[in-house]
Amino acid sequence: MNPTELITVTGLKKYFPVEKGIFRRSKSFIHAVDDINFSIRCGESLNLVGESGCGKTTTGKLLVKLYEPTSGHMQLDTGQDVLDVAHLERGKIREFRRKVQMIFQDPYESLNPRLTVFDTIAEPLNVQNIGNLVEREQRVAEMLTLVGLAPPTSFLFRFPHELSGGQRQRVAIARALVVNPIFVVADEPTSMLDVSIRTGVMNLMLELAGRLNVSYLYITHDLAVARYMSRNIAVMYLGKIVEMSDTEELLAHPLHPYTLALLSAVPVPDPMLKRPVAKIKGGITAPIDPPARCRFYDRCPISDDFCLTHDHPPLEDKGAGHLAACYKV
Amino acid sequence: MRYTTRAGEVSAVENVSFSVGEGEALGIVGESGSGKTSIAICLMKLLPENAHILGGQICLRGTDLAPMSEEEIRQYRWCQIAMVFQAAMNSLNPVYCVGDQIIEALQTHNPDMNNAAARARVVELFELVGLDPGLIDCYPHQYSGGMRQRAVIAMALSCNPDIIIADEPTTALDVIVQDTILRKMRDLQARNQIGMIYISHDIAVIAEVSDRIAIMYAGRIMEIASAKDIFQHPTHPYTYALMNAFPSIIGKKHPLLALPGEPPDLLHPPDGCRFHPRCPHVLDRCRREVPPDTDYGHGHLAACWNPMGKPS
Repeated sequence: MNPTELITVTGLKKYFPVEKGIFRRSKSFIHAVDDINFSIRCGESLNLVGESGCGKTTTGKLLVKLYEPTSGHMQLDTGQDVLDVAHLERGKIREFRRKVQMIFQDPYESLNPRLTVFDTIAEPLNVQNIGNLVEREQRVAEMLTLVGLAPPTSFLFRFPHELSGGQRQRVAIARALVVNPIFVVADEPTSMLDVSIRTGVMNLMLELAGRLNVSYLYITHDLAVARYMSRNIAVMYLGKIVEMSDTEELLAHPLHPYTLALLSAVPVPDPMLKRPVAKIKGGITAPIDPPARCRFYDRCPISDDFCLTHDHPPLEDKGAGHLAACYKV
Repeated sequence: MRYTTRAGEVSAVENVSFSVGEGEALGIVGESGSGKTSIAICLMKLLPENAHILGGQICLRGTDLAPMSEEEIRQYRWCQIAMVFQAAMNSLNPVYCVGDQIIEALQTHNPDMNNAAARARVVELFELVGLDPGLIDCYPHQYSGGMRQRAVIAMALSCNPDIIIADEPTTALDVIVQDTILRKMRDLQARNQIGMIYISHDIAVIAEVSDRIAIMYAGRIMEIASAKDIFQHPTHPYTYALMNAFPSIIGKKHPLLALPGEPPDLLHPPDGCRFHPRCPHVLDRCRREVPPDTDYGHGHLAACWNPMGKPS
């Protein structure tokens, strides 16, 4: 294994049971995440993009151990230790939680309305038993300044309802980063924010990543945001990664027909530009007990009998580290 | 327009003027709380109890809707001015089939229409918006998000309105669905010569569908111009900041500039220009006097004392 890999995911699967029938006996499974592989190097980030229901949030929650995977391996290299995320020993869980944190989508729901800003940000320190009260106060004030809520004294004892959406998300970022994690899963952290506020939060996250040497798994549905946030990108469709490469390379030369359709559907802030029409049919469905063939077969404009009779194509290198899961490209 | 709340008067829409021509699409862009939806409910006269229109006119083909009573406005609402609401999931009644809801709207406004004619019209509308007419007797929960949005658009089109207000029509949808719906709306608008008012926070969506664009901030229109002029010659510093804050998948990747600060509290709006506390181009005068709309040619209006660069 390459020593610079921070996190390595192999064969990760998560199936959710769907109960049907009067006696709830006939069980089907939603294949939310189905055999995905990727790795993130130290100090780098990865974008995970896809439409709603494609399994991107499930992947994020698996990585922070909010869900237990159905099967597969996730390895986190903390520098001192290599943690097997799926099967952590009891004593290692606290260490894992210190190294890996999550930022949620909705800052209105992810902050406890009864805790002050200080209590919210200090809570991970309490749980991890870091420092005494004075040191914690210092640390929280330091974090607040870092996320741009200055002077900290005017924010420490406010409650979430006294903050705007952008300020709340900054508090959520401070809470995630207060324990010095090395890996943060950010699940659509800016999709609830207004444009003029969103850019500030995005810039803050980029700046902190460089300063604190944190890697993000940045989950988003917005390709333009993804382009801004990270150099690497993985596109998901119905539980599978269909394409993965350098972000600029993927935007310039998309290979997979789904990526192509997705890109052609993104509205562009330029009225002079005419975009080609997305050439796919139908809508996204839930992957309940999907057939073995390519997940995109039913909507694909270039599929043929080969795709029908063969299993879902493997994610292969199509040249220069540009990976795509398609037989036809 | 103002809202009376327990904390005081909120001036949600302040001195806003615009016009929409026959078959023209106007896009209104603004952040949350900038008053875009308030404009929509003023135009439809669907005001909540605590909202008042303090002054101004809403002229539809020369008729002023603003002073009308509820009874009078009913003749105009839906027949001449219709609306596509923000959350399509919530604007359909879950216990009636979709077809019946459109028939209800049709028969309310055309009392002499019989059931067969109404049903035939619904089939026609379904085909128009690209829905399978076999779905008429299905309930909203059997529809996907995109299909519900199409159904709501069909409902807005049902009485052949002159103008349709679409308030965040595609915000809850995935990009591919959003793209097909926007194309459909654009197509229907051009074919039937309907005036459209698109309201969205997403400047990219607005750029796709609008002929002219109005930029709103804190209850005022900051700049209004043709879509081309807004993008090529942004004049108001707020418009300029928005353009620079918006990431795009085309062109060269450039660093995004964030605006400092937060939108103002409209209980106590700032004096002078409402954008002045965040404006990088602020002058002393901006703090005291409200800037008037200045015409920069071709209907390009901006309300600023110290505009950016030279407009067209």
